Amino acid sequence: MLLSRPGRGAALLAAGAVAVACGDDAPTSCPIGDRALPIEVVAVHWPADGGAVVELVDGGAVDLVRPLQGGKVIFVGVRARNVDGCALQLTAALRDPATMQVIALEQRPARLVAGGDGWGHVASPFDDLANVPACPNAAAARDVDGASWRLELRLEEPGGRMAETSLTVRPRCGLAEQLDECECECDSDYELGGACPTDPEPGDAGVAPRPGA
Amino acid sequence: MVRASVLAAAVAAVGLVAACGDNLSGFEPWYLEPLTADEGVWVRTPEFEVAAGAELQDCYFFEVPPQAADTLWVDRFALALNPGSHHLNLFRVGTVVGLDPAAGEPVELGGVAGTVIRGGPCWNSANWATWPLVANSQQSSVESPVYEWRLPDDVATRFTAGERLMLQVHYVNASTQETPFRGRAGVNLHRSRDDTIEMGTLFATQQNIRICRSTPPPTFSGTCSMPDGNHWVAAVNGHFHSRGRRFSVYAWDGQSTTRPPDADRFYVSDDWAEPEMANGLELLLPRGGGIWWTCEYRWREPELGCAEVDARDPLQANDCCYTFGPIVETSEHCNVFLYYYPRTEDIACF
Repeated sequence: MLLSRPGRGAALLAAGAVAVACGDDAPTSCPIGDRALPIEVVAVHWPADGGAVVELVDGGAVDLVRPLQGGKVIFVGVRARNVDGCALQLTAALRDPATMQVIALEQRPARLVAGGDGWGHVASPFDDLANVPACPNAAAARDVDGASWRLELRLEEPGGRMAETSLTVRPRCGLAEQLDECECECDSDYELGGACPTDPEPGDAGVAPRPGA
Repeated sequence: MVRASVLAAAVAAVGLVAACGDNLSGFEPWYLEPLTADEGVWVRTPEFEVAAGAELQDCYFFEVPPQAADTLWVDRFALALNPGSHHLNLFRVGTVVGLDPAAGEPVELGGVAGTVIRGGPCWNSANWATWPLVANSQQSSVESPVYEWRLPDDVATRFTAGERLMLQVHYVNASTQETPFRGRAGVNLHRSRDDTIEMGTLFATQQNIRICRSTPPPTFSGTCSMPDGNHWVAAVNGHFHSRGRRFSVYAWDGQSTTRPPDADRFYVSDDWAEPEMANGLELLLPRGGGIWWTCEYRWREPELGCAEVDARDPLQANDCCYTFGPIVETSEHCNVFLYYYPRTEDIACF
């Protein structure tokens, strides 16, 4: 059985808290790599199976999952180096590449913990990745799931140093037990409080039924 | 029921309210005029005790009574709360998940009859995630317990006869908020006769927030995009709990991924307990855009200690972290309630 999202993140957070603490009694700076060099970031996401945070690939899938209250979010963020891992701000946005409209955006505090590979990794996937609210989405002109969107990620230090990356992602309804609900809420024709839209089967659009069919 | 008898019953009820409390000294109960069927719909919850240290949330269900034309247009809301309320929210009942009106206890609600579910599933926001917002109030001071809200000219909220609504009332009588008397809520939906532009609503919430003792004061932001078309904001208010320091809502162009300039901010509140509804705005949002909202927090020591706060932390970090949740004393929120026209659809961003 899958653990709940927060439950899975707890162990990682605990490890992170040991590795770095950004509180009153801790150093206010948590350098990762060489801060004289530009910040480098690599896009990551947290799969629906609750496993490890993994690197995103251009054109790859990113899982839509139900958060606490409802709707569907994607958990996305960065690993980074040459950065102060404490008190970072992460911004993640999903943009329609055709219209350039941002259909969902979230901005939150984030912490990165130095790993053995020289990169800073999220201390808690649940909290240090953006929870981008993708569905339902009144602005999306096409279904959110299964379509390609531009994911833009920006990591900022308090002093103004920052780095950005972007790539194409394809959100998908990632959990079998949420599949119907997810496809319903991510349909571009879905209206809050209404019934689930019924999309025509592929190839049906605009084609009249065959006689006798 | 004829108007005179309705009025008499209501006056009698108020008299009873005033007489049955043991802590009503100095409190003049609010009074809302009951409405005839021709005038609209009126709803009054029973009065209830909010014990010291208690936090209550009750969900009252009722149906929009039959209308001559099957449709009720409402261009004025009166939302009344005894002091101590955290909020009053009115929703349209959508898909029933774990909060079933049929499972409620029958209750007389003045102008309508319905059911009530006290606590339990009425606390779980996932149960009404797909229920469109109708109206809300966070105003419950002794000085002004009634929020009178007249919609812009030609604008009204549309209801269908038989449509189910849910009135949710939250009271706190603890360290962050106090209920000095007893809890009670009332709603008047005043019928419109000549309005033709439908009001739509937008509810947005940041579901994953975390305000910890050992981390810097956090700020969370999000956007909520509007459907295509021109949309004017009629009213807005923000909602968070006592760690909230500033709630801001901006007009947003739908393109930028940085916070809009202060000049585009049309709502700001530093008052978590009694945030005012900003209305009469008539603000045109950028086409293809929407809103950007920001919640700024500062951690504060819980008056009753961190144990209950820590117990709610999904990550069990033992850092007295307030996280998403409805309990005012031990959790936090970051919610936008926004009203716009003309309605394209009711919008949720979460």
